[in-house]
Amino acid sequence: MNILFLVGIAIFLGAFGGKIFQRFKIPQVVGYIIIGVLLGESALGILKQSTIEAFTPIINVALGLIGFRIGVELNREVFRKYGRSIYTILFSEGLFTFFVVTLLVTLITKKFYLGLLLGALASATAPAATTDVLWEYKTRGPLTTILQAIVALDDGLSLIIYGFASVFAKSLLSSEASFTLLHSVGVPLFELGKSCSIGVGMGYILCKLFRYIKDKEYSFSFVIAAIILTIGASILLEADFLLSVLVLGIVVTNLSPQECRKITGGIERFSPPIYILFFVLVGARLQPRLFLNTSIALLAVAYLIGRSFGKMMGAWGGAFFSKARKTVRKYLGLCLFSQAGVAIGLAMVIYHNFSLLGPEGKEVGILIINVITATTFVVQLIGPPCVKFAVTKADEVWRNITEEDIVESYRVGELMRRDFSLIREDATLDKIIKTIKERESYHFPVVNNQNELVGLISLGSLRSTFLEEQLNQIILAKDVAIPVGRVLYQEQPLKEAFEIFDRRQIDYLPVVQTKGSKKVVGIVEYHSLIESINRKLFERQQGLDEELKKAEG
Amino acid sequence: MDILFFIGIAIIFGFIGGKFSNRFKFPGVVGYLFAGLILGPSIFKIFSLELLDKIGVFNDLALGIVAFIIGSEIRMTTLREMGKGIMTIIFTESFGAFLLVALGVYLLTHKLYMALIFGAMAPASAPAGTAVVLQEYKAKGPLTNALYTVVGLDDGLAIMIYAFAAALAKLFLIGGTVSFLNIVEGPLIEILGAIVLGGLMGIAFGYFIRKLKGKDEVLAVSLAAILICIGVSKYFHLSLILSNLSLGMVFANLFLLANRRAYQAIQSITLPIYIIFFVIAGAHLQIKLLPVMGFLGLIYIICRASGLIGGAFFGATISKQDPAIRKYLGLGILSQAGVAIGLAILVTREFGSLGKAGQDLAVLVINTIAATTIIFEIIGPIATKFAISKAGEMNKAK
Repeated sequence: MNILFLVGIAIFLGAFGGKIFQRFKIPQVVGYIIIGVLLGESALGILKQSTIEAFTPIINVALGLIGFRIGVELNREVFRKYGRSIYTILFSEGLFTFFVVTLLVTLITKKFYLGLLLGALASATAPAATTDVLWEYKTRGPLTTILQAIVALDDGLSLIIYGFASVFAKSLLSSEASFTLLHSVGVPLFELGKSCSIGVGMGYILCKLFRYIKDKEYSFSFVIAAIILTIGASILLEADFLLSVLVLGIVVTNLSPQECRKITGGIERFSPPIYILFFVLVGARLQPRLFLNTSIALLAVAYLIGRSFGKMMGAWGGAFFSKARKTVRKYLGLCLFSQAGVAIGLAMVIYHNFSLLGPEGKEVGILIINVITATTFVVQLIGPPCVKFAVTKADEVWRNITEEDIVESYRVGELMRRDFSLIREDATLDKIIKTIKERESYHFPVVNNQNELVGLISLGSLRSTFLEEQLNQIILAKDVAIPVGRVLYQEQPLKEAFEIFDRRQIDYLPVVQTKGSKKVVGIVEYHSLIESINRKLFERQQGLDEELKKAEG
Repeated sequence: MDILFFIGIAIIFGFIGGKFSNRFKFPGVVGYLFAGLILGPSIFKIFSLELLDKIGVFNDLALGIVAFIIGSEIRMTTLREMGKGIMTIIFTESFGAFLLVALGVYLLTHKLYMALIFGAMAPASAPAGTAVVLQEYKAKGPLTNALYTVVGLDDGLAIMIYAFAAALAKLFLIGGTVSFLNIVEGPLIEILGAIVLGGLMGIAFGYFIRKLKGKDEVLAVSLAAILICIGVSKYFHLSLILSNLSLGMVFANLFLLANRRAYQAIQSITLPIYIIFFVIAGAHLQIKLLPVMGFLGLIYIICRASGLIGGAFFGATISKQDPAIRKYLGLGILSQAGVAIGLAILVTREFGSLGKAGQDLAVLVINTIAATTIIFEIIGPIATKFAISKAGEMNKAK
């Protein structure tokens, strides 16, 4: 079948699956992967192994984009922005997780290189699924701030850990016979240097060329080309291309930060279809049958337990040493379970790099892809609820709110003024003026004997009657009342009230009991409404800012 | 060697070529083509034919995207206003090119079948060459609208003309009888099938995209729609240009808002794809054919160009179009590329087995079309730029 057709189908179904799963509050990544499993050889067999191999360049581009975007995040500003406490926590949770998983996996499998690789993958945390929860529940507070910083940074850390771990694992795997000190240190260092220098070289050239490109669209194509070329060159020179593009990103973002900001939007737009395809292909490569093998299933469970334990303890330790608040110490670890793109991406890179080392390497690659994908499933399902639990316990939910959120959450009845005066339609002008004097309001509903709304009196509409004082006893309220244009009802969403205010250019509306009824129960004035909304906003956020300052300082 | 390495090289060199040709006030496309020519088998041989084959999927992808974008530019309102006029122009420019080339080739060779076949190659225009220039210079106006519509739709007519001409040529070459139905059946399926396919997919994806909120997903899904449309068209041997064109058109006219988002999303990623496309196209140009093109090629070039320009002028005059359209539309549609080469390959397949005369014809056609394509691919975009700049439609779109 035509390869473009397959790509199209994979992207479309992937997007579709993601949407469906999102509806059940499951991160989209899981949806993409499941669609991949369904299309793959273990189910429908549309995406065959040979087809997947043909997609290798696209997978590499996807990985390159992931690596580049992580690199771009690591600019000077970011390092300056976060305090030392955040780095203490970051290194503590990342490295501790790495050690725990490495130790556990090595103990179980007796293979040190496998332990190193899985340990490196374990340190990554998926920002998307985590920050989605924070967004959804509008959290705000010390835990939220630290959490956001950690998930933003720890992909970078995990890539660096991966860089070291993978070169050591490689030399362990390929030269077990002649294991010398020179070999175990020199070769890895050489490999690292090679990958980094490709990235530095390309990044330097790119930044030099940036100066000649003014058009935004062009610089975007140029960056894409540079990423692709870096990948190609790394593969050509048998270097680790993920590290090269990471370094490329770091170089570009630090040498020409302005240009870099211009292109990130383009890269972000370019990425989704490739990512979707990537995850679908990962799913297609998954072999659920492997987990019938108890030792592999055990390995996955060990990885999961080791990783969760490492994250919790590492975060706790880091928070403890940096003297972070109690809520951070207690709950940060719970928020770091999610794992997705980076871990899976690294698994794919390992598969790619290690299958070059012969059958054993390939086996390791397949094993790692399957363990990582399967555990991704689990942590993506339990991760977001854990984050939700943690931020709820830390009392940071529903704090980061705007006026709009308040408006969204209330009904007219809850914020209307109940202390208003009615004017009977047969009231004389004297009486009307007396009522107006008594109350601090500019608008008054006029009702008939059955208390039904018949009109409105406002100060403005009375003005014309003031000239004829002798008529005070003759003019009745119903003569000066203006007819009612629009009314609100108690159960109406507050948002609609604002829409009416905006559209009709008025600042006052009477509120009736239910839709269609004529019984006035309150009034809404634009200015006092804004005031009470601001008051609610203040109540919600009160005290939080001070806490935040303490945490950040 | 890794394919990505070459793709990266292609974009960078294409890009540099584009900048270079901009310096001479030429459209970027010309530079991309030259970069391809230099990198390709003709000169430096960095791209081998084998490699070009491998990255050939980019051709289909880029053509599909171009067709989708052209389709999105064709508004029902434009069609209703100037529909009759446009149709007239499409007929006159296509038949103008066909008749003039056929006449020229007949006068040169005195072989009717050869005249018919060469004539049938002439109407096929390359939508990409024109559309990319229109986008590069942010063109907007009546001429731009007319250009989009004409380059988009005249491929249907080109396929039809070829079908008839080929059948007649066969008649002259080997005799026998042909039935009208047999001639029409194939191309009709190719054209109508493509339109129906694109239309149906347009409706289906329109409904789906309307439900999407995120911008990311819009790009993913619209790209997927284009890819699926390309794949299905290839599978059933339908015209992928027409199917994506009708996908874009249905989409643009039935789902106005959804299409805006999809169009913007698609357009934001097109530049690297276009560059790769034209670099590959440039690499395919066989420069050694140019000197052996001979008198026949020269006749073909002159007759095709004057046929298209004259035909468009005539059509626009009788349908009382804008003066800008009358004067410059023909200049805007000179590009010749994939479609013509596709037809030439079809000739080798259909006539190669028809004895000595058939074989000679096949070789002559494919070489002449390949050689003249070098000229038209380079002149076409330059002429298009000239046309829109004369008509004052450059840099009008926001």
